[in-house]
Amino acid sequence: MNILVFNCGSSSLTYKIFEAGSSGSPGIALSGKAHRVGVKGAVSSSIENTHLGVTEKTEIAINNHGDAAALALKLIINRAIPVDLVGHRFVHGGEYFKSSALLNAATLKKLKLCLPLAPIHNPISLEVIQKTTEFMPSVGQYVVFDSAFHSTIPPEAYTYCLPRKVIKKFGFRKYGFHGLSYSYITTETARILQRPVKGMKIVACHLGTGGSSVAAIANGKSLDNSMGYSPLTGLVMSTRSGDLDPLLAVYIMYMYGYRSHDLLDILNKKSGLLGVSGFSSDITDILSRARSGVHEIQSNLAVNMYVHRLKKYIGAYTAVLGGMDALVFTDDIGAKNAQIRQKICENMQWCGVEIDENANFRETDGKKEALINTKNSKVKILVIPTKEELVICLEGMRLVK
Amino acid sequence: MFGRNEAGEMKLMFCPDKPYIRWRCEDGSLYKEGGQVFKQGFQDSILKEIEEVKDISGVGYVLFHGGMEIEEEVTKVSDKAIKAVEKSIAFLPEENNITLRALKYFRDKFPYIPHFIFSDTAFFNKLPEMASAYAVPQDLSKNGIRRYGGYGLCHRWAYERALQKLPGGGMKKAISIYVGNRTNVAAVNNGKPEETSIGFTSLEGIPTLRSCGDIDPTIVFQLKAEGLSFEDINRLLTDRSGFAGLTGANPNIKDIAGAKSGRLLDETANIYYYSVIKQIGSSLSVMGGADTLIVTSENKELAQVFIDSLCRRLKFPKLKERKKASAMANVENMTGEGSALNIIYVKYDMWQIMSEKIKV
Repeated sequence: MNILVFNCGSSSLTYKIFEAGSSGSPGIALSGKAHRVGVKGAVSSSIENTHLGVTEKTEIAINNHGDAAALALKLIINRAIPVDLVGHRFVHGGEYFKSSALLNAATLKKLKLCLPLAPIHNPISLEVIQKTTEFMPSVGQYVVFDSAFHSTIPPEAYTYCLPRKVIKKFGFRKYGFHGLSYSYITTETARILQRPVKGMKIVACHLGTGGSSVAAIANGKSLDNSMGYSPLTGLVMSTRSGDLDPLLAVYIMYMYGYRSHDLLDILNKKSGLLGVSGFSSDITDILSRARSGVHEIQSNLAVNMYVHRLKKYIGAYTAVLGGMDALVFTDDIGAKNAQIRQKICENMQWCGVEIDENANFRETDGKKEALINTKNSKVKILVIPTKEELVICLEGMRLVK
Repeated sequence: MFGRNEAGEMKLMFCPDKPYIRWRCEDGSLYKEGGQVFKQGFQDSILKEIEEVKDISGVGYVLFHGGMEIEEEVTKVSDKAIKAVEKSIAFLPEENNITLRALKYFRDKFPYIPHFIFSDTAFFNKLPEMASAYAVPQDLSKNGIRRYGGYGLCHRWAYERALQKLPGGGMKKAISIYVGNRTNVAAVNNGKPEETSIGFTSLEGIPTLRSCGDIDPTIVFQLKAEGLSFEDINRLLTDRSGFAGLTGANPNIKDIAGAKSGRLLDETANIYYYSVIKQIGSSLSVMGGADTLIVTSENKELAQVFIDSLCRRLKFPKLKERKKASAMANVENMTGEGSALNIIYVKYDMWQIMSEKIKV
């Protein structure tokens, strides 16, 4: 069975065709990624495909995720690669979806109700679903939800102390994000350390070029996540502010006359690393300018804030878990940026974290798994490139079984 | 009024406590205190109770939010200082307005004696920028959009008292927890603040009886989109939420911190301590560990239940308290054998802090 998997990032679209047999890990028949989707800038958007061992890259204008999906679908149809099932990642399933679901009219209706829950991510996933229906009308589709892995977060962690009837009316609560990634990380951590998930306390950092979060995981279950009702809260991200005094939103609108949707846009798209540094949303770029030059002061502040906020969450989750056995770094920044990992692990002996600097600085390609703690470190420190698409594929196999 | 005359030493002090203004008048070891609803003519009712107003020799006022202008913990009142307080109103309109009105009135009434402003945010002016800044665009952070902290008078005082109890380098890095209606946590390293659970306002951080604590700001925008006004949202988050809003009941903080029975109280106690424990973990992490946990409160019984529950709930680092048969002293070492951190209780007395600093 061939499963085509689409994974929308805020400015990218990853797609893979898995050949899922009855046994063994599914092989990859085709993989591709559209870059800088809908991004205007000096570097143009592009799409790359790897099929039969050959990688091709084309620079082409890609205005939105629907366009990106159309390019991918046309290529797959032109090359006559069979597709039996299409899986989609949907960031936020709210109260509507606690687990993955096959696409039908009822599902589609509920997906539309979820759109405002993740205004950046959910609409683009829906665009891709609609393009798929247009190009492959007879192929079954299913949706996998990031919020599902976090359905085990307990009330003390997900409850916002708002009036009960307001909570009921709007469904305000913490949902958590990056669930597919954390689900994969949890299984892999247990496999690498050769110990059962039961009894293991993991603090996992999914540090992406778009969104980032931290999760507290015990016994294989999510107990907390730094993102909340929406993906705006928690860490300092590329363009998202992360944690903010909620009254500040009111104050800024009231005092400075910002319109509500403009301010929400600023907090989601112009804050975070971009807002603090004033010139870039890219941590690698900012790190390289933190030593000297015109951007030195703001770059340093941006890096320090990024690290400080993350350290706060690692500490908070270590305390709520009652200790930590493994600290895991994943996704683009987590798996590739040794400088950031080094800074985060500095001065963390209090909770048993000791990073091996040499081992850490060897892991910068983000392609393989590695242990980067010293021999004496009580906490295992792992680098694990995440495989969200594989998780989506496995969910599909489970659904149609 | 006190039946003896220590002319030149009588101190009058004010603290906003919306919708009240609390006051205390001290003459040596004698005192009178009370609370008045803050409304037209509140000043006269207070003065009537004090009677011998001509003996007042110094006045102090707590300003909860010093904003960008009031940088010192204690500021002697001048025209310039009053302008600064006026500018701070925007940061915390209701409470700061109470302070300002009292300040203006009594300064006019007693023009020949010194008046002092006590800023509750000043201690946190020295927060490292990475802790005080929000990750928002520079044009916002330049306009005073930052974390100011709070309960600075309390945390600095508690740190100094605890230090006297643990002399000889026994305390360097402390997690200071104020337990009360606005429970909050500060990380204090060598006397300097490194973190606070309070942000731009004291809404951020740990939920209280009536305010929501940390929530996703997206919620504010969704409420706005539903047609709620700024005033509605402000009232909803600061007065209608918290443990009272969540349960629909009217618990007090001691019920919650103690949570000996009742399903609703258990649930709120879980949320309360979960939030406290996260802040403890964050403080540990930014300081690279800690040696002392300071619990400070006006209320000894409350502090005692809090310490009991925290020792039971926090699994790492493991805290052990020393069981005491008698009541705690005003500063008490509660550290039990095998505790990962020292535990020090400090009785918080805001009037005493002010009284010591009002120089007449």
